[in-house]
Order: sequence, then C-alpha cells, then structure tokens
Amino acid sequence: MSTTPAIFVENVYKDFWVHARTDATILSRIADAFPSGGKRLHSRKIEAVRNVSFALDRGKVLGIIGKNAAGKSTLLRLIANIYEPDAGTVIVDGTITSLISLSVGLRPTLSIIDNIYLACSLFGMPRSHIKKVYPQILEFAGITDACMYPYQLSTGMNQRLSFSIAVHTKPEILLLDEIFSAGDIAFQSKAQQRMEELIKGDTTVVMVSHSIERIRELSDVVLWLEAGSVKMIGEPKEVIHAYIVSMQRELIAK
Amino acid sequence: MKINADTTLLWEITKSNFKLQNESSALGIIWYLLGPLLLFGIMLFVFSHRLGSDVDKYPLYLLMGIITWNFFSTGAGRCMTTITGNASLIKSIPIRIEILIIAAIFHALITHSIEIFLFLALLLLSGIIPILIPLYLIVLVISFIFTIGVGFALSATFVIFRDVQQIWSVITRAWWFATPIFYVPTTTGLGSKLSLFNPLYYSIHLSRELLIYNRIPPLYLFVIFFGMSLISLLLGYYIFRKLQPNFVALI
Repeated sequence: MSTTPAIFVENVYKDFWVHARTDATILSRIADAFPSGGKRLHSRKIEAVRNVSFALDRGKVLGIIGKNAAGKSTLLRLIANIYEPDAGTVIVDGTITSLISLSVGLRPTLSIIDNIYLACSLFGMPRSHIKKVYPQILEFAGITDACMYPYQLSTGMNQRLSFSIAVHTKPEILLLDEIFSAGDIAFQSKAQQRMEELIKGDTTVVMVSHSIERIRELSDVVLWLEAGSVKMIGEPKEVIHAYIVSMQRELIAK
Repeated sequence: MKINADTTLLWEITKSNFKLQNESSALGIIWYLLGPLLLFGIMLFVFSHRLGSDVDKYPLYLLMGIITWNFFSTGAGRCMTTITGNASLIKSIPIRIEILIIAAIFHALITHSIEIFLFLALLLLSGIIPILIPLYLIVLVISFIFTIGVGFALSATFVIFRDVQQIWSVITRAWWFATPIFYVPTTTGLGSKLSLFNPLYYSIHLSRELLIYNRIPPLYLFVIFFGMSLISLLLGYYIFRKLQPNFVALI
C-alpha cells in the first residue's frame, strides 16, 4: 500500500471576483476592464479559501465544519479539481467521486435506467461496470421500476438515487457535500451503514456537513473553517467542542 | 480503463442529448428530416428556374449543399451553449469539458447521418450509384474536425461574452450566402477568390463531386480542406484551453 497521503493540500488560496453586473456581454466586459473613478466599483473580491493546508491518509474520513460562506464547498471543489487554486498545491492520489450536488447528472425527462448509465459514466465508470452495478443501485435506492422518470419521483427519492449511484462507483476518494439530509430516517441509516462499509474498504472520504452528530460519528479528523482559513484541525471531539463553544459565545454576544 | 470510461461518457452524453431533444417535440425524429426538406422545397421552388437552370441535377446539388451546411451550423451552434447549459454539472463533477463539446458534435453527426441516408436513397432513385462513398467518408471526417475546432472556440468565448451568440448568427448568415449552397461559384472575380478561403466551400464541393457526379476531385482540394480543419482544431482548442480557467467562476 502506498504511504503517500490520499489528499495533500498545502498553502492553498482561492479568490473569486463577484461582478456587479450579471450580464456578460462584450460591452460590459470592456466596461469592467476600466476602473470607474479610480476604483473597481464593478466587482467585489471574495477570499473564499486562505492558506489552507492539511494531509489526509488513505482510508481516513475528514469532516469539514464551519458557518455558511466559510469556504467549505470551495475547498471541496478545489480537492475535486473543479476549481484551480490561485496559489498553493492540491495533490490527490486516487479516483474521485464527488457528490457536491445531489441532483447533479439526473435529467428529469430521461428514464431512470438512462440516468443511471449517464450519471455512472460522469463518475468515470466504463459501460461493463455500470451493467454490473445498476441492479444494486436500484435496490439500494429502493426503486422498483427503472422505466420511470425522475420527474415522477419525489425529491427525496431523487436524492436517494443520486446517493446510491455515487456510493456504487467504488470510489477511492469520496467527496460529499451536505448529503445526509437525503431521504427518510430509514434511508439515512442505510446510507450511514454504506458509508461505514466504504470507509472500512479503504475509501478516503471528505465530507462537509452542518450535522455535527454525523461528523462526530464518522470522522477521523475534523477541520474547522472560518472565513476561508483553518481555525482548527485535529481530533473530532476537541475540534467539535471548540466549534460549539464558539457558536454559543457568538449567540450570547448577539 | 480511462479511455474506456471516456468513450462510455461520450456515448452516454450523446445518447441522452439525442433522446432529450426528441422527447421535447411532438414529431421527434421526423423534424430532422422535415426541417432540411422544407428549406430544400422552398429553395428549389425559388431557385430552380433561376440560379439552378444551368446546373446538372440541381435538386440534388441544392440538397447536398443544405445538409452539409446544416451539419456545420448545427454542430457549432450546439457547442456554443454546451458549457453554460451544463453549468451545474461542471460545477459539481470534475468532468472533462472537451467530452461535452465533442458529444455535441456527435449529436449533430447523428442527425447528419440520417439526412445522408435519405440523400443516398434519393441518389439511387435518380439512377446514381454513389460508388465513391469511402472517399466521401474522408470528407465527413475532415468536416467533423473543422466543426470541432469552431465548436471549441465558440463554446469557450460564449462563456466570457454572451453576445457571441448574436454575433455568430450574423456571421453564419453572411457565411451561408458566401458559400455556394444554392448557386454555382463563379470562376473569376471576388467570389471565386473568397471561396478558396472558405472551408465550407471545400466540404460542399467535394461532397457533391463524390456523391452526385461520381468524380474524384483533385488531391490538393482534400489537402487544403484538411489543412484548414487542422488549423481550426488547433486554434479552437488553444482558445478553449486559454479561457478554461475562467469557466467555473463565470457559469
């Protein structure tokens, strides 16, 4: 087994420019290029991720916590290679399955079976493999009729289907963003069980969640992000305790 | 494994695009034939006794021009909105956007293949046996390469400037009239010189010569068309790669 970490992140920075204009015409781009009154009034810089570093060993689970707009999803997308960092290094050793949005890849007017083939191929699975796993995907999601269409299913059922597809892709690295709200309590417990199986099977997991309980139960390491920077990283118990205390202090101060 | 996964992805995206397009219209696949046929009917009615009176087998000449142009304009047009149309996908999955672009052209190729089959049937009905089909397939591959290059450039620039769509519609209108689709190119004057720089002229001219007139065109025409397509691919992909870092933030 390789001794190098599955995910290595060093001094990573990522900024975004939010344009005041929502249009993207040539004229507006030209206007954007010329500062108005000496200042760039047209756009605002968001420092989404600031100097973040960590290394995660194979088979470990990293839980990322933090308030809204702390940079959690941006960090996940940097690891997934969806965003390129402005500075710093992100090295990922293994195939990634990212479940950043639960509805991604599902087309409402394509049959479920076509959707499974499409979504699995988006996660990098060859056709021969998809053929083998699609009955398992349906069974896990609790869907009996593969000829139905996603628009005929409830939102919860669609989320179950997406989760089921992602966990059956045999990922080496699984990135999850707020997926624990998918489905009912019975499905959530099934999902957690499947997650535990994956973790035992040497899958490296990075998950973002506001559900502190889930993070505590599943994580080996917890990273607390605040305003894009690492506030604390370490043992789940310690980091979560510090986070809750900080949240409580903030509430009292208000 | 990687190539296998990429080809699966290419196939699945092309298939789903094709299915989705047909599901949203009442006549579905019939539109693929009806659209060009209606245009063909109108143009034949208007031009057959004017511009086409001196042209041998003018209806076939016109139809070949229309369907060859359609492949290019449909393919490039679909590419333009591919990145913005798949924004949520691109923001959530580390997907190779190139595959989405190529799938858009393959989608256009399916439509084109249906049109070509219909065209071949018309040729046979007219007593022409298209024996030079293998050479035509070479022209089709070169057209595919040319369209991919334009598609890469359009898809990437459209992310940055949305009015590329309006500019492109003006360019394609001018390009349509500059291409000998419903008329015969002149052998002298400005028009003939313009045609030499028009890749669509080569595509349409070579297709007509091979399928309708069963004549083997000079090799240099193939070479020029291939050279233009290669430049289109390299330049288009260069523009795409140059602009790619901005995509996720702008869609």
